[in-house]
Amino acid sequence: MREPTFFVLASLADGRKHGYGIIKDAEDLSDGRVRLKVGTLYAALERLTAEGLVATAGDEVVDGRARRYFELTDVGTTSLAAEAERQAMNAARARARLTQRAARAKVAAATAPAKVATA
Amino acid sequence: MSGELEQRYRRALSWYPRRWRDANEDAVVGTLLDVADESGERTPSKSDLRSLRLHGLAAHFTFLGRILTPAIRDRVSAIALGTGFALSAWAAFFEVANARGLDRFSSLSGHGTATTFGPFVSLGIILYLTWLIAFTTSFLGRPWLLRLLLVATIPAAIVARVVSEQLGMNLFPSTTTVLLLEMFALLALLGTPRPTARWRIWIGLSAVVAVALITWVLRGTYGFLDTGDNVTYFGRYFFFQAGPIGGVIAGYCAAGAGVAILCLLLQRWTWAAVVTISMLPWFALYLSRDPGDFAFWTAAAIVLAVVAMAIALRARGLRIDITFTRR
Repeated sequence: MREPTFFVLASLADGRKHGYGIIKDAEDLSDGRVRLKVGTLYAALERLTAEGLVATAGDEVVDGRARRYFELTDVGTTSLAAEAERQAMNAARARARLTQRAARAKVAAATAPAKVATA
Repeated sequence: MSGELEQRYRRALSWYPRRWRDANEDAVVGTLLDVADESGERTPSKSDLRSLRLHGLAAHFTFLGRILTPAIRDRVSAIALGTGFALSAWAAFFEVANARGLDRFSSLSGHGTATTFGPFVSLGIILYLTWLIAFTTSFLGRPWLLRLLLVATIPAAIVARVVSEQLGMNLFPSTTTVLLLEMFALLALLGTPRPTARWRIWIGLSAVVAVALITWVLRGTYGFLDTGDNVTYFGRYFFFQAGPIGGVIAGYCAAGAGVAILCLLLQRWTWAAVVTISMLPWFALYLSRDPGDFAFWTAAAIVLAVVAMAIALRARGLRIDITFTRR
């Protein structure tokens, strides 16, 4: 799952949202890294709707502007949870390797012979 | 100002299919205006417009992808693979057979030494061998390798044609043969070949039909194999023959169109689409040979329009029921 898709689904995890709400939420969740264009967002939502991960959740007109709401489906919730779990496992493995590396570096530094300065 | 901005966004959305716009335009424009309010933009940014145009164009292909279901694409792919194989096998055979004839012709006519590619007439053998390997690969259950080889046939076709001509070879793959093989490669790439028994049957069946057809079409070239001392047969090679081939291909196209219409009447939507799409290279071949044939153009356009309309209606969930009642 690509990062923008992940953040679109994550944005909908706490309830239905309209297009602009999703764009703002994805930006906040990604610390500003994912700034979705409107065209990209609606292409992603159309694809996710076709795959059954997202569903439309009503249209409203606010201040003369149409707003379409989207919500996560059960399949989308499962898919997002699986992706979050996969990312968490990847992160845990990477952290474990980094911990091992740091430990090895510490041992190597402790056992290395002291350098003798030569003139 | 907001009204002008809205109009510009709506104009940018004209790149999307009408059906998509009917369903989504207002919601998208609302979102675009919300984003513009937040960022203080008074005119659409270039990146926004570019994004809308690109996604608008892509939406057309998404719609096309919905019409061309995997069942259609896989069957078209099988038929194209079989036909391309048959044509390549025939061409590879003639690469060798014609090289022998070329030597004889050169000595008889006093044209000097013939320029060939080793025991082959031209570099066309590279194209034909790539096709033969691709076809064999389809039975190995390695779809990625098959796709790679099919893609490779496209530059191979151009190289075989252009380089053979540049090197002054006496015979080289005709433009028609090269274009036909390229069209078959593109059609074969439409689907995802699956190494199931059924898939193999379709490839085998289409190959047999194609071999039979091409043998029939090229029957005049039998004479070339045994030219004796008659050099006038030389050069009667593939689609160079002007006389009977046009009629044969037209007949083949008519038969294909008939089968497509029959499939429609029997409500075999998938097969109607498969037959029609598979016939496209042959329609193109006939029209390239005789572009002034108004009757053929009209018939081809009517058949294609009827099948396309029926498939599109089907894709939209509509159907035409034809019932036969006894009076």
